Amino acid sequence: MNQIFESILDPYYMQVLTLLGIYIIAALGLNLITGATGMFSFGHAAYFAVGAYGAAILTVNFGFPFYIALVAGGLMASLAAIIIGFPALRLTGDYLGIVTLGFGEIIRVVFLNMKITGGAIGLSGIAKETNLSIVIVLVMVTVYIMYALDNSRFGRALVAIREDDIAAESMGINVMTYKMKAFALGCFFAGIAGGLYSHLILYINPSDFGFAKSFEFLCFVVLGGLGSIPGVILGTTVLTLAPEFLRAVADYRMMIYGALMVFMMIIRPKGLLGDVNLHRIFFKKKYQKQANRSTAAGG
Amino acid sequence: MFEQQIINGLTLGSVYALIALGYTMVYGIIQLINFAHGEIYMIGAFAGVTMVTMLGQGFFVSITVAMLVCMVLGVVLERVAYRPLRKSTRLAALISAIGASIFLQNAMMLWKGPQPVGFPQVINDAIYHIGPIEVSKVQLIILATSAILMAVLNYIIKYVKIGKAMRAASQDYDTASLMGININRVISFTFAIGSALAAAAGVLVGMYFNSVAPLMGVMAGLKAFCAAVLGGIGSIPGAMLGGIFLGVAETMGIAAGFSTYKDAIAFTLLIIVLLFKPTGLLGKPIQRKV
Amino acid sequence: MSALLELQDITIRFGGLTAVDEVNISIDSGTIRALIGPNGAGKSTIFNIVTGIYSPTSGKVLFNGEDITGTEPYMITQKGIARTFQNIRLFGKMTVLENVKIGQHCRTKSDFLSAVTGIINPVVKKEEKEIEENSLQALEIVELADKRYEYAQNLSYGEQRRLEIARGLATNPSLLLLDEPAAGMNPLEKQTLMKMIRKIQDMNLTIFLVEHDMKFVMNLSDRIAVLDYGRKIATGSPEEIQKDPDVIAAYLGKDVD
Repeated sequence: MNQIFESILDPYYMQVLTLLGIYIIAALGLNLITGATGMFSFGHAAYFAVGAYGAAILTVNFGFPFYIALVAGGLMASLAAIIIGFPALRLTGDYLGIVTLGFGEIIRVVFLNMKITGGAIGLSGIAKETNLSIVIVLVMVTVYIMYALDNSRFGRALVAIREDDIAAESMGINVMTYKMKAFALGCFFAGIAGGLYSHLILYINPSDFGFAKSFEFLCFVVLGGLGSIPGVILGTTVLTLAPEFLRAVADYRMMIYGALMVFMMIIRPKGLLGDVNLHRIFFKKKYQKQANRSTAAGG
Repeated sequence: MFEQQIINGLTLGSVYALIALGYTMVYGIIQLINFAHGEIYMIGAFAGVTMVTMLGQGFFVSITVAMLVCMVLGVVLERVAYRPLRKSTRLAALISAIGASIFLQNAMMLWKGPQPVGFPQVINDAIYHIGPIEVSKVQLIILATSAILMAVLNYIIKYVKIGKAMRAASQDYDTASLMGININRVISFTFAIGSALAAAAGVLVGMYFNSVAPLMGVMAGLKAFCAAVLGGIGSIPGAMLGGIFLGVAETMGIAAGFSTYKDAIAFTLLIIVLLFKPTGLLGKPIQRKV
Repeated sequence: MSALLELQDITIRFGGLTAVDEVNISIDSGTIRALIGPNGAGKSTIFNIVTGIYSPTSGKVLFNGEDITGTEPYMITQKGIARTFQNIRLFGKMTVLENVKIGQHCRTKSDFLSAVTGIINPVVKKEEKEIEENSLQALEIVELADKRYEYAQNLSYGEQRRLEIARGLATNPSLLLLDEPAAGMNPLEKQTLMKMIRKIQDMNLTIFLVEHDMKFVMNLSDRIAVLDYGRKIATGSPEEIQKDPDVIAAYLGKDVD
């Protein structure tokens, strides 16, 4: 399948689209944490980094097959999330945000000081394993999982925690355990995305994974529409491709990018697709029919 | 050289404290993490450099002009990027703040280039010896300026009408507005004061390290924010205490040989404090309301 | 008849304030018990102790003879105590049906992996169907089934109170705690609510409620406990309570002798 893409797309755009897919996976992971469960996480790039380094070290130093390394990278990110979540998830709101940011920076500094990660010099010699078709498949799998969760007992519990954690606990939900599961799961996707990233870019360095990257992920999610799966995909797409389209304005590119973020937030404070439930729009008839039927039966 | 490190730490800490005050005052009233505050500090530093190099002004004029410039900038920032989002979610305002921060950084890079710019010596630096401790004149100026600014702030908050209004608004926003306090004016004023303090910090740091750079506000801003949270966000004495605490701890950490972990020290401290005292050193405990 | 819920010498202090002072209450299975008293008497605090949100400073909570003092709130719900809140706490951005489905959470099992395999996994499908059916049943009791696709935040005040009851019922409780269920309702709504609560009692549930509306309480309850400044000043049937001099004093002021 990749050959088909290669024949119709310029290598540069292939790279951009692959990266976009990788970011969508990571952003959907963050959406599960912040959008569905309502936990602020300002350190998502750190779990992305754990996956990137974890998978790359496994393939480069230990000769693991790529797919196994990829999953292992995801699991390592989950493990990091569980270790950090244990103390951090007792906090809520902005405090949780700042603590996750802090842990994120600590992880980055630790990578900067480790031998196996190559420290500040970074890790190179990673084989190119990621390509557009793999990423497309994984994006589809991720989107499927997110939708499946949305309409499940598990997903409902997360949303209930976001809406009112005390009421959720009083309905028999073990809030702490579910927060932990959501955090670990969201970070698993960050880790998978990270593994794909390092096998695409082929060279990684701790400075790629600072809090600026974490905020970038957060922007994808919030700007697209917190909690909305199509919103997150749209937000990630707009913000990842915007710099490409802004190439025409060369030097002013990043300045306009910043201004654009402010502007978009002001005109759509709930995000591009915030409060837009596509499921409801597409299945409007079905909802109405059911509602009518039950009213008729009841009256 | 423990005493020496204390002096160095106090110098750095008083700068963190000046920046942290802006974060804490804004957060106290509108619960917004003003992520563009670090950029205000950076622009303050550049305004200082410009005054010195292009207009040949001395320390006093430079720092005053930098403070005035940033006051205006802070007020404009709030009007443009935050006020329209005041009733929206916190995350929306946060993203707007990040956007504003990216905008300001890149605007400055466009103007001055990404490389650091030298800050010429405005003070004939001298070293004083007090027993075994060395204190430079610049350090003394930093400490004195910070102390004076904090004293002025304290006076405004306690005795001036608008300062009292600020305190009222941070205690209870809704009641304050019902009592006839013009909330918009109070918020503008808060941004003006916070930005002026950050600008002063920028000029002082530029003078201390003899250089300023468009990205200098990123880490400094983040650490100052840590200092504010550490001290108890919303609390003015907390921001001062948090800043000093962080500055001293960081200097000590570097002296103890953890220099490659320098940027992690602030966060580690913050996390430890929050785990034991979830609202910071001087923050009021949150009650779980059912 | 055995006691379903028993509070033994419950005391709770917040700082220097004793909010609840050595309160004993014993509720028989299948009855409706009301807890009344002036504002700030400690009624909601007692609910919060029973449901595990607060831990009492001293004393014991026995449920079905088992000591549940200090147990986590979610485990107390699993053991069969459900509640509503004085200041409504619904999941506003979830639909009415989803709100009630949350109540079924502690009676079902499927987790993350089963969610992902949901479309092909018959066990999960069956469970989801059960959740839906049970939730609809609960909604029918409070007459909200036709609003099931509305967002909870768009319901009227009285409907929201009823939805909270349905959500509580969906946890299959044996004891239901209602914190001011009639607050903010008009007389007609109160009449309907009373019928609903009787219907719920007939389903073999025990009801423990806090309510300010005396007519409502006197009509509905089997027994009433009265709280004043954290102390229990009287227990008895509605008739006894209405005649009790301490209760009259608590409500009208101490001058009445």
